[in-house]
Amino acid sequence: MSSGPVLDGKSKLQRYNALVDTLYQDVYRYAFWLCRNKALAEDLVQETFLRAWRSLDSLQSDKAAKAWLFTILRRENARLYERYRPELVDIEDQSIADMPGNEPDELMDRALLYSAINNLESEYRDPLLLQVVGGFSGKEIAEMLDLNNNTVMTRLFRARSKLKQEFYPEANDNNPINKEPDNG
Amino acid sequence: MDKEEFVTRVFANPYDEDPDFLDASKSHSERQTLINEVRAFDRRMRKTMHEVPIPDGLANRLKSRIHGEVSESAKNSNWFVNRFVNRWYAMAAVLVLTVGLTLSAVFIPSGPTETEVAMGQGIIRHVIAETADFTGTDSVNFSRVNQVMATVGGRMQDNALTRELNITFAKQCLVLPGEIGAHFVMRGDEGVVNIIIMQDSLIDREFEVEDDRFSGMASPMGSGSVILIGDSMAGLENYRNMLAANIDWSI
Repeated sequence: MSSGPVLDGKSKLQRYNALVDTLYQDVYRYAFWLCRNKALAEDLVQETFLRAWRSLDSLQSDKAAKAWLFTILRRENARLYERYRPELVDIEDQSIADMPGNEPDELMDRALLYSAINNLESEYRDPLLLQVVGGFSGKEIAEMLDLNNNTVMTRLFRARSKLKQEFYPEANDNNPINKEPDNG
Repeated sequence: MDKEEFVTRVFANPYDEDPDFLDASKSHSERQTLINEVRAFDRRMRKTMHEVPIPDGLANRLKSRIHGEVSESAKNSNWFVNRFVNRWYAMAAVLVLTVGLTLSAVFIPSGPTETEVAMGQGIIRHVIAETADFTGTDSVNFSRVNQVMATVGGRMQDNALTRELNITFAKQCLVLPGEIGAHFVMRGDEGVVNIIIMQDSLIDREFEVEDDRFSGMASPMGSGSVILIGDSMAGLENYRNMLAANIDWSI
C-alpha cells in the first residue's frame, strides 16, 4: 500500500481497495467477536469502511491502518449497537456450526469460548480481542483504548485467567497461579 | 522478577519476548510449565477466534459500496480547471434536464434512487441473515406480534383479517445500521413474506426492491415505513394495503 496524506481520486481509490483487500478479514473477525452476530458484524464492517473511505486522507501512514480501522469499528459498535445488545443479540449457535471442523471437541471448544467471551466484562474483553484477533501489542492497545500500559496488562491477565477458569472449572484449585513456585 | 509479576505477565502475554521475562523463566521448570500451559490454551483460543467464516463477496461489497461516493468526488475534482467549461455544460444540462424531466413525468416511471437501492439491499441482507431463525411454521401469539409492534410505535388491530395472517416469526431487529425495525414473517398462499416495519419515515415514496432471489416493495405507512419482501411480488400489494388499514400508530 502507498502512504501519504494527499491523494487524488484515483490513488485514493487504489489505496482504499488495497486497504480492503489487506484488512477486511481481520476487521470482520473483530466485528464478529465484538457483537457476536454475523449480520450485525457485516453491517459494522460496511459502516467502518465507509467511514474510512470518507476520512482516508487523515490516515497518515498505512502502517497504522489496522489500528485506525479497529478504532473506527469499536466506536461504530458503541454508537450503533451496544445500547441495544441485551435485546437484539444472542450468541449464535448457527455460527458455531458454520465454522470449519465439527469434531465434538472442537464444537465444545467453540461453544465454551463463545460463552466465556460473552461472560467477560467489556473492560477485559476489549483488550483481549485487540490482542488475539488484532495482534496488537500491549502498548498499541493502551493507545487505542486510552489506558496506560500497566492497566492493559492487568486486564489481559484477568481476561485470560477468567477464560481459563471457565474452560477448566474443575482445575481452579490447581490453577497455575496457585501452583506458581516461590521465588528463588 | 517476583512470582506475582511473572504470573501476571504470562497471562497478559504468554508470548512475551522481553529478556527480563525470558530470564525469569529459564531456571524454573514450574514457570516454564506454566508458560507452556497458558500458551497451549492461547493457541486453542486463537484458533477458534480466527476460524470465523468470512462472508462470501464481502470485499467486493465493500469496494462497490463506495462507487457512488467516488463518482461524487470525481465530479468535484478539478473544479477550478473545469469551471469555465462547466458553465456551458451546466446551461446545456439544465436544458436537457428540463426536457428529460418533462418527458419522464409523462412517459417513464422513475426507478429507485441509489439510496433506495442500498436500503433495499440492506433489508434483503438482513432477511437472508435471519433466514435460519424463521424456519418455524407455528403461528406466534398475537400478543407477541403487538409486543414487537410496540417497539416501533405501532399496534396491529386484532380482528378476523389480521388473525388470518399466519405470522410465524416476530422479532425486534436491527434491520439497517442504526435502524431498529419490527420483523415479521408470514406464510401465505404465495409463500413466505417478510414484513419489516420501521418507526422512522425513512421512505417517502413507494419503490421496489429486489435481488437475484427476492422481490419486494417499500412504502411509507402511517408515521413509519414498511418493506415487504417475498419470493415474488405476488400478493405483496394486497398485504401492504391490508397492513395500512390495520396498523394504528401511536405517534
